[in-house]
Amino acid sequence: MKNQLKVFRAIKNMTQDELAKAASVSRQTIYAIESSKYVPSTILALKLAAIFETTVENVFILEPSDFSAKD
Amino acid sequence: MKILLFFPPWTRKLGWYLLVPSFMAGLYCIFTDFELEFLKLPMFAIYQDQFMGHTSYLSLIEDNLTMELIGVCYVFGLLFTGFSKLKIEDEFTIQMRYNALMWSTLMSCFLLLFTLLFFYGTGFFICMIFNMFSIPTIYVLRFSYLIHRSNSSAE
Repeated sequence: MKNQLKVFRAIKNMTQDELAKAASVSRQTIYAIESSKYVPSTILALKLAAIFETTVENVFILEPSDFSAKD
Repeated sequence: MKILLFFPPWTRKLGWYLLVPSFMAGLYCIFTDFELEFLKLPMFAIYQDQFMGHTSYLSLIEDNLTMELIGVCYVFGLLFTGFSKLKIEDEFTIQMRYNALMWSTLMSCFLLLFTLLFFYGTGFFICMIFNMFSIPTIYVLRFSYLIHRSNSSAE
């Protein structure tokens, strides 16, 4: 799954720290999501989309590989 | 997702202060049979099985409590370091906790198998004493490593 967190953060002119505070998570969590090391929960994904005033689908984009069974 | 039991964040540091000295003291006492004389005290025992002696239940026994004291400090050290709340406790840290728990359980199973197959006699019992603490110990080490890795990669 790809995500546009960095792009939306740049549009909103927000730092990782500011976004983390707005979403009530740690900066490490934001970094892990941005670098695709961690897939957030539905609640956090919805929260992030709400902060960017957009939909979850615009922030998080499924890739064809997500539809096939992993490992 | 909420985890029920969490100690306040300041207990994490206290945990390390208990954990490291008690670990070293424990190793020293096991390998040198060192005991503090003034800790020879009467204790209530639910069960006691003396070598070549009688078995007693619910009785008062006299025992040196050096190892018990070290063990209690070590367990509290593990509890405080492993189950104290981080400054920001979120779903990512909870995922790291699960990862560490999974790791520690697996490693403990491998250690158990290794001990069962390759250690015999009193060596087996000494290894089993270490194995008793292996799950929380590996959990604390793995969790601390994951936090450190996440902090350093985010910088």
